[in-house]
Amino acid sequence: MKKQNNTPRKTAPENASPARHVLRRLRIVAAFASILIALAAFIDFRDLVPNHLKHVYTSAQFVPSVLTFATAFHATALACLLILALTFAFGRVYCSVICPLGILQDVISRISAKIRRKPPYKLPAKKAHNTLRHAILAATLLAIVAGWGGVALAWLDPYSHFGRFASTLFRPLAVVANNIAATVANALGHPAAIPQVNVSFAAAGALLPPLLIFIAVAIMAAKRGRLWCNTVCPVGTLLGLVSRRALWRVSIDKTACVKCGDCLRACKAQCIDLRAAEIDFSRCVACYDCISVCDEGGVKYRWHGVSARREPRGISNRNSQIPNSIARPPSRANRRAFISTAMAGTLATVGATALLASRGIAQNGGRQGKGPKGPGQHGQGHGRGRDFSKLDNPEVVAPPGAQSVARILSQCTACQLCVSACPSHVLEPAFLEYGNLAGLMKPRLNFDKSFCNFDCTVCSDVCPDGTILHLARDAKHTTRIGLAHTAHPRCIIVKDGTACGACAEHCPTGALQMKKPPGHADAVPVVDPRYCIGCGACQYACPVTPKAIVISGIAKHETAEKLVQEQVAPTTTDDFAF
Amino acid sequence: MNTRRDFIKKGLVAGATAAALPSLGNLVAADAPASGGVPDLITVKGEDRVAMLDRALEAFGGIGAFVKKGQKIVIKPNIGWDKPPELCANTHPDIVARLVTLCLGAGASEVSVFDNTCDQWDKSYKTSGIADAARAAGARVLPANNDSYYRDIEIPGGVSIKKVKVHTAVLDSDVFINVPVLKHHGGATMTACMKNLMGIVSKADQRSYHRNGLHQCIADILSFKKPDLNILDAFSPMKRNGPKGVTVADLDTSVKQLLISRDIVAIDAAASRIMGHKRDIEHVRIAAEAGHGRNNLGELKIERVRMTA
Repeated sequence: MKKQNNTPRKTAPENASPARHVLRRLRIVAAFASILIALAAFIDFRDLVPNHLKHVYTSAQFVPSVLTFATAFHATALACLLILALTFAFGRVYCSVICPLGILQDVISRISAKIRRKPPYKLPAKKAHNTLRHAILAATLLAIVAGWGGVALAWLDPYSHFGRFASTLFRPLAVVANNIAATVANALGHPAAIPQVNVSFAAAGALLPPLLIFIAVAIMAAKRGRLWCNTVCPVGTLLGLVSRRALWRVSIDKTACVKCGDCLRACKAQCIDLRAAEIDFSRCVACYDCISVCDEGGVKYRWHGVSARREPRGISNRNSQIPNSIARPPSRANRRAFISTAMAGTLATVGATALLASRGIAQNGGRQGKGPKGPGQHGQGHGRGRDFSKLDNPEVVAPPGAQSVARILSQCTACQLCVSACPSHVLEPAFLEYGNLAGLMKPRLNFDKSFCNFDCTVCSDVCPDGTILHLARDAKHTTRIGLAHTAHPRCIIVKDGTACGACAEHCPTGALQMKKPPGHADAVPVVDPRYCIGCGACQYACPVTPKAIVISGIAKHETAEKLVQEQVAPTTTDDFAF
Repeated sequence: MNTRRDFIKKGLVAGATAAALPSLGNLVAADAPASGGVPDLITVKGEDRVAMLDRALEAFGGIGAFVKKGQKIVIKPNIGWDKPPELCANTHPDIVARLVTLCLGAGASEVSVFDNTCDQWDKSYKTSGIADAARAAGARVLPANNDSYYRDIEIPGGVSIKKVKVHTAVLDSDVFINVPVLKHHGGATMTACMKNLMGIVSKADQRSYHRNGLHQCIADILSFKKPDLNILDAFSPMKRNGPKGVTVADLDTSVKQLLISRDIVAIDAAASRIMGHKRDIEHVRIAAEAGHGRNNLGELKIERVRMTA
């Protein structure tokens, strides 16, 4: 695409070697691999991608890693330190090859350029929106300190934005495509080759926010390259503050630069000021297109050390007519940036401490969705009473391993990885089920749609930010996330006097048994709350509407007892029985 | 006509013969040898499910009595649950694999295996060991998780159900082999051969069974189609917490039987005795009254075979 309209120039100097393309090509390969893994992780409707890969890739993302670092000190928590170190050394490599939202914007820019038959960027240099971006970063950090981190991070973390796009927008389209292929395969007599997959669209309330944000991101990417990353994204701003003084920076070699403007037109961050021959490295997203495009060898990746100087040490400025200090006196904007850097640093420290503290609060069952509800209240609502409030207005059910509703609200970034990885599709993005906007799009179990598989621990295997903590299979078997409540007058057995037992049939723990209580002609489902874990199999299987058995969530998860029964007595005779 | 004395004599002779011919190895002591002709029902007690299946089929003249060259076969095991073989919540994969091999060996053009599962279908197929075993034996393992794999059929003789969606594999095959596992069932009291046919209808129909009188619906489907062969895995029947089961403690490991019959009512009547029911389960009784088969075990020709290692 580059330079179709340029007239051939005088022979390029020898410092414009083919090696100048290497960094850009490496970046493209790495970014391509990264977004492929990201898309595969979220669109994987056949459960073919290993959960381990999903977890490792996503937990290496910046915000999930910071959250793990602040709350769980898991090994993956080191990723954020590594990203900070990389940024301090080389600039915003995270934004160019790791962040799937960043790469997605590059893809959108490319596609839009193809449609408009224009070179991808060709954007004028623009000043940074420093006030705005520093304000957003500061607001994010303040929100964390104030205990609103669960909302701020969910709606500003770039990785989580990508997750929501991929899971709620791209994935259903992929499933529809699969099902068209499956219909064709079935018609050709090979139904086993491509099985049908049941499409699950998010409810409108949970579909709209990511759709609107996707449209905003796409328009910004198509029109202005990485404007989102350099204005809205607090991760981009934070890493920009670090990369401003990176050890190696992309900068213009004034001895070689002929001011042709090729680099400027190739820059997706609009951060090359050609008049001053300077690159705002805080906005540079390390794509290396400028190095690649420059025939003169005028853009170089060089060691600058820790100095604030924009020219690398040891390079003489003889050809430069004006000394640096005069060409670029410290402006007011610069001073402001410096102050916000200092402020951000302080806030980051305070923020991390606050997160640590909020973990304590969460575990003590603080801030809850629909008001406090102490343990030991369950066991009610079983049997013949007419109080069906638990069935008509059940409490929200958080995934096993999350430990409490409070942890979902304060820590989960609603990235949808658990939702898209859930093999039984019982997890879905909540709308207002958590009782407030902090719970928007966070995972909840919908037992009218499916139920939580007894032996499955996938959500806890993939969760990247330490919200759904890893559960061993044995621990999962006794993790109580809710409790079954029955309304016998609604039960088909009582109403119609016919056999059913679909609920007991599905119960994995033996908590639900068909028993004949006094006053009943037939055996009806009776829940022993000691063994019930709230998996929802009974509610899912119940054939009547409204359901005669419903799970109500418990705000702080508990440990259920395990039903231990004696071995079934063997038949006493060695007979055939008939 | 067999008197009890003849019966015992023959048994002793057969036993002695088997004992006298140890070189024949895995041989058989028949409690009630078939006195000519094919039995209505055969049950084999033994230690190895595959050998028991082979022996039981022998009484009918081998699989060739059911499967002819070039025919399409559908095998319907119980794959209801995401549970491994040792918990006996599903038909044992060895039995399914052996059947596939036998059918293909008899010249079947195609053998399909499917179930409309209760737990998530792909997990149940995998964990049960049935998908892998059947595929390795050469079967087509078909999905049944979506309505597009079903077609509407009418049941004019149905009392509670008149119309259901049935899996196309059943509709488009020449021979239908029903291979369930015997278990306690919280709703239907027992699940054996008749209850297993709930896995050939769609999810919505399964739910409507539960709404419209489970036992009658289970019997009604027989007006549409009865399997050509029923093979019941009663090696370690689940005696409580069924049909899913909680632990191996729910299994009666002393039974070790495998039953075969063309008559789905007869085999389920026999199965209810194994489960300890003195009288027939309701859906067995309804099916017998509707003339779908015979539940008068005393009048049936039953062959009882005891295999010794």
